[in-house]
Parts: sequence; structure tokens; C-alpha cells
Amino acid sequence: MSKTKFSTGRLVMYILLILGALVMIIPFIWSIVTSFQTLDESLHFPPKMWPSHWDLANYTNVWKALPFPKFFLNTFLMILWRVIFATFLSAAAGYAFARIKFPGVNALFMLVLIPMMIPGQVYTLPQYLLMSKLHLVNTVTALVLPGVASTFGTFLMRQFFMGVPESLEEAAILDGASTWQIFTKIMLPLAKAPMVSVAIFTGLFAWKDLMWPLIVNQDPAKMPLASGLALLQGQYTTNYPQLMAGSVIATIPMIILYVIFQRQFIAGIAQTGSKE
Amino acid sequence: MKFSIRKRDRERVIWGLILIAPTLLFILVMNIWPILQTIYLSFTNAQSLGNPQWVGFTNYLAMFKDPDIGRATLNTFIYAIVTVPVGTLLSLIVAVFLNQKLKGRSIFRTLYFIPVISAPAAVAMVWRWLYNSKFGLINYGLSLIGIHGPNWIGDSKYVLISIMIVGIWSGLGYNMIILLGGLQDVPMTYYEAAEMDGASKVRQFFTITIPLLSPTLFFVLTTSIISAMQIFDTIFMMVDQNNPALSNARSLVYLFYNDTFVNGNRGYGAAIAVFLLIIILILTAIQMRLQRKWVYYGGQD
Amino acid sequence: MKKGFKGLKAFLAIALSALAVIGLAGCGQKSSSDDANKKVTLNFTIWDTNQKKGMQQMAAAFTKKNPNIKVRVTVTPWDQYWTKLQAAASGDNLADVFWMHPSEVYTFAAGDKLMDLTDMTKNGGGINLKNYPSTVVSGLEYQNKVYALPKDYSTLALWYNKTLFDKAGVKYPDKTWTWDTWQEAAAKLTDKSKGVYGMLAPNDGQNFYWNLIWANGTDLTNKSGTKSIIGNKGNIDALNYGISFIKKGYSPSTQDFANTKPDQYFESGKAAMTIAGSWMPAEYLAVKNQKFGVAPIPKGKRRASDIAGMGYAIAKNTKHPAQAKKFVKFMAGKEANIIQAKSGAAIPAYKDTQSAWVKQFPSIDGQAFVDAADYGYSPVFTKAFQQWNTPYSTGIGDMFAGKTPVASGSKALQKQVQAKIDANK
Repeated sequence: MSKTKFSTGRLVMYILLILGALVMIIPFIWSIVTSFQTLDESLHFPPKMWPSHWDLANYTNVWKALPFPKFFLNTFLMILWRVIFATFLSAAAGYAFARIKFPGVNALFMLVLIPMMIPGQVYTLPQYLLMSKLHLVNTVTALVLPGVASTFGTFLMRQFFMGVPESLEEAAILDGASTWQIFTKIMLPLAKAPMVSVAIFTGLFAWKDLMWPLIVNQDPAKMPLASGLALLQGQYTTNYPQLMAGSVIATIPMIILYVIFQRQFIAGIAQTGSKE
Repeated sequence: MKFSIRKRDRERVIWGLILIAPTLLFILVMNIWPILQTIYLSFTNAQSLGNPQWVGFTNYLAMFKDPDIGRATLNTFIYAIVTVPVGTLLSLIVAVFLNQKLKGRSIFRTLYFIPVISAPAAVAMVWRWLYNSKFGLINYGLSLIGIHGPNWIGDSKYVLISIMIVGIWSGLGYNMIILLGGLQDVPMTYYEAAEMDGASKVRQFFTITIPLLSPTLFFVLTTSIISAMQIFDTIFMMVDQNNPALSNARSLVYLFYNDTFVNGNRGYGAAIAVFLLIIILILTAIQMRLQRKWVYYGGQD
Repeated sequence: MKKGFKGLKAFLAIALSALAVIGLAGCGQKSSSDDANKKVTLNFTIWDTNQKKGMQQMAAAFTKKNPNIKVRVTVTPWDQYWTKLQAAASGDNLADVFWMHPSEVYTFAAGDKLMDLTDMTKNGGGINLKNYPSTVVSGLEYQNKVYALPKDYSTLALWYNKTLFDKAGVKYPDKTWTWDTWQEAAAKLTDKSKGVYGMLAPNDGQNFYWNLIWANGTDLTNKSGTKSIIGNKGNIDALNYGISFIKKGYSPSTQDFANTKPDQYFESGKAAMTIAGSWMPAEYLAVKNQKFGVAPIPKGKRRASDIAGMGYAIAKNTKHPAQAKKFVKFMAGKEANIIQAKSGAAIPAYKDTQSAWVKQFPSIDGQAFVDAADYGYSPVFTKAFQQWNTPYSTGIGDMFAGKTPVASGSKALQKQVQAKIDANK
């Protein structure tokens, strides 16, 4: 009895999930299809959801037109440094904000949140002038710096540490462990799943950041992928098949990375399962 | 004994400050300093270039008389009030579904993440096509069941709804990931115990999942409100300058962008940004207060 | 106490290395003194990726003559170009030479970021401004000083779909067309059953109604841009004429354009005529199952087309002023303009160098765009223009959408615009 009820519930869930997934991926499918079309085909309206033939010309053209290996390298460096710094610094600050009580801690925390509350364009000019004073314009370092600390990550990590039972920490304090030891030996290992979230998001924001690299850097060899692809946008007209071929090339590694991180997530389940 | 507790506390506070310091330092230099500059600019007549002159509250007074600002504030609030609850609920449902043991789980998790990494140009192109009143799939679908679909992005009555749908669509993947992360912290043993007590799935959801997920849920709600109040990209992508329904779609950030970068009124744009900052700050402070009522922090009981 | 801070070193190491990143590669910029015979590299920034090749060819021709001066061409897309230029100007990091648009000359010239090039255009300076369309030249001036040398111009013309004209049995547009012939043809070409429109009348100044206003013998403001005249009869009649295409059903409505862009209608063969620019051939002519043609915009009281010129500007604080001047002089000269014409991306500004551009597109009458320079008009780009253009466009949009009547709406709009102009004196 209960078994059949259970499986119809599952069936409904599957159907909903599949329908939802279809809605989610239409734009991505469209980019793939367009990336194989000729310019002529891509100009049809309403769009054709199938290319007349699967021609790789757009891919070879766009690969020749832009220094993709450089873009990948810069993106990799930008993401790597931002992720390393933001993840650990957020975990540290998040832990302190959640667990250590001192006067003014909430005010300080609000101060950390404020950067999220104003349009990001506000930062462009002052940050550029700072980079210019530090002689960092046109360097990969300039790409990394604005993302070293993460408001978002600090907030997320604080929320996580707020939820960790106090008993875990008390035992260590009685054993005479220092705060640093508690943080590194007890708290950080527990925080794998949220740290993966912070890493994914930091990486994602870095990968999507189009404006900042275009402002602070000039040389295509110093550009990450998103900004490099923007170089395909003409003033009046854009060759969409080529642009889409470029963005498919840029997206695939992100999907692969995400799938790998997914495994980390699932590995996290097994660990937390044994934590209590 | 007392002395040692004091010493202990001092050690913790000093460590706390050390752990916060690098994040704080970077945020002060990279973000807070620019925000202070923006606040200063909002009291000046700054243009794109050149030396700004102090004008006191002129920009703010002009802003409160500007009907566009009123309309945009209203649009922004409506957008946030609708998309935050609906978006959070939908992502919660998807996250709970995808946290179960089911076939193809990681494929689904990937597919629901795809919008987040789709090319903005592709997203705009496809949604504009879906919404197209004559050739769009949505109105075609509606016509099959005998409904004459509306002009989704050209009609002032529908344009905001259309933007909300795209907004919810593009935010789902983000929130799903965070909620999935939060769900990892809910120990399986709780569910197993509840199962043995004969609690239904729905009951388990409300008595176990929601309380234990509440710190993460609080995070999602707070950040969703903050970002919903700053809606811009979707409007910019979907609604052209010469769309007759533009004034029913424009948000505060849209006006900020227009004044700062298109019209070259940096002072006025800065005033809009500061106005928005104050609104969001108030909303966030209210949430911080309300969280004591509903967010369950395991660390504090 | 000491024990309590055991991990401090490790933590500081992580935190400080974050700061240390700043130090990396921070010393990459060298400054060199300005010596005419020294080898220098000029940075040259443009906004259109489609013209990069042409610019590189022109720069190569320059370097061939001036082996000591190399030029590096970089692109910043239009959407980010002005933000970037503003940031770079504030930080005094502007490229040595860069493209300048008339609508931005005011901002950068008044901000004292552009080199005054007036000397180069006076006797013996090497540049004769008579060789360029006068509207283009005046767009690059601010307070009677020249801040950029003309590069190219773009104009508009009437694009038409030959296939649809043939089907409807209508004669192709030509120089004899007037506003009456235009509308008669639009009526004949409109085929509601097939969803085909005769003409596209979008709520768009440059691509539509400005051209009508100028053709009707009037303008948006007086010559100096200090007085708005958009409420006069000429403006009102021109707008009424433009909007009549929609009212009579020959053009999609403003709401339709919110869904489907004019280019999409035209490229998919759903519209027989549209006004579009000299920047469109590359895209329109890629459409293989339609045949397109070009004719001058039909004549009103006079012939008129929007003309948008642009130019080469030099950063005021460039380290290589002599070399930069030499370079822009070359770029604005005849030889460079011929190379530019052959690249096909833009109509060169220098007189009688345009034929190579026209030959790029043998299937259309490209000469119509070149000739339009003789009757080209442009809004007067002042500081105030930036301020009034947005409310003006919104107001006209309401007229196109039928929300406000044209006559009374235009008069009210004129007051609103005048107030903005007065506030920016």
C-alpha cells in the first residue's frame, strides 16, 4: 500500500523536476545550437532551434580570433586566488563573528554586510584609482584584489558556525585548546560543505565578472574569459554564432568544475552524517 | 579561577579580532571607502569628470520631487515582495527534492545550476523570444488552451510580472546550491528517528528540516532581499529604452545607472544609491531583529 | 598567553600573503622621456571590434613611415568604453590616442583631459578641415577649439526588401520619392494576412523621427543648442507623419517593437522598408534568402539624414605628444582613409576616399550613404543634451504609443526640455 503511494509521489516529483530542468536549460541549448549556425541562420526570427548542418567554423574562427589559452590562464589565476583567500578569510571571520562575543561585534558585522547593499558600479571608479596608485593597472593582480575578502562568504560562514553545537567547543576549551586550535582542528573540518559553497560562489562571481577586468586591464592577454568574450561585441552589430561559440567554450570548464565540486558536496553528507 | 576565565576571554577576543582583521581591512579599503566617497558625491553636483561642488541636500530634495524615483521605488518594492518569497520557496522545494536519494541526482543538480552560468546574451535572447507576443512559445502554449496571451514585455500591466519570472528563474540555481549546502548539516539520524516514530514526510519537513535549516534560510532570505532591491540586469536586458512600458519596469538601480553613466549626473546618481543603501540597511536590520523569533541556532541552546 | 597564540604565525602568513599579492608585478610600467628619435609605442584604444583589423592596417602603414613609432591597438567594447575612459581619465591613465564621439567631447574637453589640436588645423598644421563634412568637424569642437580629428561618419538611408517590392509590384524607392510616395508604397506593401508591414516606424530618434524633423525643414534646438524648438509646427507635422505609419497599420506598434526589434522584422522579411544606418550592410547582407536595396531617405521639404561623425583624440597628459600628433595626423589623412575605406567597416571622413567603401557592397547603392553627408544633420551635443535627451525620448515614446497627443504633448515637452537646458547653462 504505502509502497505504491510512495512511488506515485516519486513519479510526480520526477516529472516536475524534469519539466523544471527543461525550463532551466533552454538558453544554454540555444547557445549551443546558435554556435553551430551561420550568421544568416542566426538572424532568423523567430529563431530556428536547429542548425542546417553542424559546422565547427564558428568555433575555429573564434578560437583563432581571441587568445583563449591566455583567457583560461587568467581566469584560472583570478578564480584560484580569489577562492583561496575568500574561502579561508571568510571562514575565519565567519567563525569569529558567530562564536566570539565582544562589544561592537554586531556593528562590525553590519559593516561587513554593507558592501552588498549598494550597486556594484559604485566601486568601479574608486577601485580603479586605487589600482592606478598602486601601479597595478593591466595586471592579473588587479583582477584578484577586489575579490580577496567576501562579504557574502563571511555571512554564509557565520550562519553555519552559529548552528554548530556549543558542546563541541566547550570540551576543547576544558582541554586547554587555544582559540586558533579550536578553529583549525575542530571548526574548519566541520565546515567543508559551506566552504565548498563559498568556493563555488566566489569562483562563479569571479568568472562572471565582466566589467571590472575591462576597466582595469587593457591588454587582451590580461583578460579573463567573460571580458575577453565581450570583445566580440561590436558597436552596432554582433556576430551571435561566434559569440555563442565563445561562450560555450568558456562555460564547459565551469560545468566540469561544478560537477567535481558536486561530488565534494555529496562526500560532505557522509561526513556530517557521522558527526552527531 | 576567575582570573583564568578573564584571561581566556581576552585570548578569545584578541583572536576574534585577528580572525576578522584581514576581511575587515580589505572591505574597508575596497568597499567602505568607495561608499564614503559616494555619500560625499551625493551632496555635490558631480558630473562625469571635473571638480564637484558642494550643493548640500539639493540632490535629495530633487529626488523626493522626482516622480520617476517614486515610481521606481514602488516597482523595486513590488519586485522584491513577490520574488523573494516565491523564489525562496521554489529553491527550497528543489533543494529538498535534490537532497534525496534519487536517480540522476547530480545531473539534476547540474541542470538547475545551468542558468547561473548561461551567457547573459543567450538568456536575454531566449526569454525575449519566449515572451514574444506573436511568435513566442508562451503565448503559443496559451493559444492551445484558448487563451489569447498578453503582450508580456510591451504592456505596462505585465512587464513587471515578466521581469519577476526571469528574476526568479535566474536566482533559483544560486539559492538551491546554498540550501543544499545547509541541508548537508541536517543529520540523517534525525529523520531516521522521526521515521521510526511514524512522522509523515511533511511533518518531518516542518519539525526537522525547517528549524535546522533556518540559519541557512535566513541567509538566503537576507541576501535575496538585498539583491532583489538592486534588480537591474534583467530589466536592462529585457526592456529597451524605447519600450512604452519602461516606466513600469524601471528600478532604483536602473535610474542610478542611467543618471551616473548615461546622463553623466554622478551626484544625483550617488544620491539614489545612498537612498537605496538606507532602505536596504533598514530592511536588513529589521531581519536581524526578527531572526531571534524564528531562526534556530544549534550553538545557542 | 603565549601558548594561546600558537597559530598566529600561520594565520598571519595567510592573511599577509593576501596583501603581498599587491606587490606582484607592480613595477611593470616604465616611463620614457620624450625624444623624437627614441623608439616609442603608442597605445591606441578603440570601441568597435569590427574595426580592429582596419585600424591595425592603418597603424602598420604609419609605422612603416615612422619606424620609431609603434602603435598598439586595443579594444574596449562600447558598453564599457566610456566608463573606462572616465576611470582612466580620473587616474590620468588614458591611452595616448583614442576614439572620441561627439556626444562625449564636451565631457572630456571640459574636464581638461583632451589635447587641444586646433594648431594642427590652422595654416601649416597639416590638416585642412575643409576635407571633411562640416557636421563631423563641428561635432569634434568645443568652445571653438578642435579636440579630435575626423575619422569616419555614419549616415542613414532607406533600406528596402526587393523580394517584397517585387511581390507587391511596387517600383523600388529612388531619388524621386517624397513623403507621399513613401506612404503610398507602404500601403501597397503592407499585407496583414502574411504579417508583412510596409514600413518600420520605431520610436527611435537616430533611426527614425529625427530624420523626419530635419527633412521637414526644422530642428530640435537652435544652432547653439540653447533654445528648444521641438514644439513648433515643423516638429509636430514631422512626428504626425511618422506616427501615421503606425496609425494606418503600415508599421508595427511601439508595443510590437518592445517584443520584436526593427532589425528582426526587416531581416526576417516581415517589413518592406526601414531607415537604417551605414553600419548595417555587414549584417543585413548576410541574410541570404532576402534581397535588400538602399535608397536615400525620401525627401520632405528638404533632404536630410542623421550624420554621426567621430574622431581621433589625444590624451592631454600623453608622454609622447609629438609622436601622438604625428600619428593622428596620419590617421586623418588621405592615405589612411583609403585603407580605412577598403576595410569596409566605416565610411572614411576624408573627401573622395569613400569609393572603396562603396565597392565593398556591390549589391546595394552604398553611394546613398556617402551622399547623405551633404545633407547630414546632428543634434547639438552640449552638456544639456545629455540631460534633456532622456525625458525627450520618453515624451516622444508616449506620443508613438498613443498615450499623449502629438500637438499638445510636443508643446509641453518643449517647456520641460527648455527647463533642463536652462538648468545647465
